[in-house]
Amino acid sequence: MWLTWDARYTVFRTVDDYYADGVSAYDMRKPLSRDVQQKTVRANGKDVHVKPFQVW
Amino acid sequence: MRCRGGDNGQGGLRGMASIHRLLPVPFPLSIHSISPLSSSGTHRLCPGFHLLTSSAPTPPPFLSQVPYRSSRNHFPPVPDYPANSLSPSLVLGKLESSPHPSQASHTPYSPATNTNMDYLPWHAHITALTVAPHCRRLGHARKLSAYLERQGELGKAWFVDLFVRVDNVGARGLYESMGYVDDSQLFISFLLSKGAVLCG
Repeated sequence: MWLTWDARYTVFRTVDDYYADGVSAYDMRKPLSRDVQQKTVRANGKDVHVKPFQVW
Repeated sequence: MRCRGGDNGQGGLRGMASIHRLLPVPFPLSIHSISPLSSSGTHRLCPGFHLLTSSAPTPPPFLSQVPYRSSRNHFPPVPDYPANSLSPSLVLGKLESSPHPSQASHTPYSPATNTNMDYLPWHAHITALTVAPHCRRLGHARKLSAYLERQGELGKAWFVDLFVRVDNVGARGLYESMGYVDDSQLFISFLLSKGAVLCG
């Protein structure tokens, strides 16, 4: 009937060569209601590249 | 059969009740937790983890199960799994934060004052989410991830995060489309709460 808007998963950062076969991973996030200002996500996450050892 | 409570029958009833408590407890939204889980969905051996499987629908009939066509079956017959042994979908997740302190560790974490974007505050993490091939496109993944998001809300997490392969186009499309919530059921329940009567 009607669709209500809720936050969706967006790419936060790209982890290069994360998987064993060399494929990169997207770190996707969806803010919850505690993050009122939506500051734990960013718009250009696909352009932010990190290495696997930088990811915990 | 002689029961521990005596022969008046009540002991037998108590025995049946204790056996009944061991059976899987139905979960809301038609998700059923299975044996290694408590009724809240938390793994008994690892309480920090949330592991949830959805109830198994009736599997499609295999050739060996279709009556009157046994002569057309392959031989040896295709092995089929027991009806209730295969979970069509599974999610594994947890609430966690980075063990390393943030750069502003002397103050409570706040997205407004955080300067290290790679620091992970208290958040819900989807460790694994998988759906059996014959049960895809039925809403299992949305329902199971919504369960983890609800646990994150209850645990005051800042966000939910997950790692997905870049070449997993289907999963990426799923997560990017998630967030549209069809509230038709909410609307119907709202009408019912206002005294409306549904007519067939």
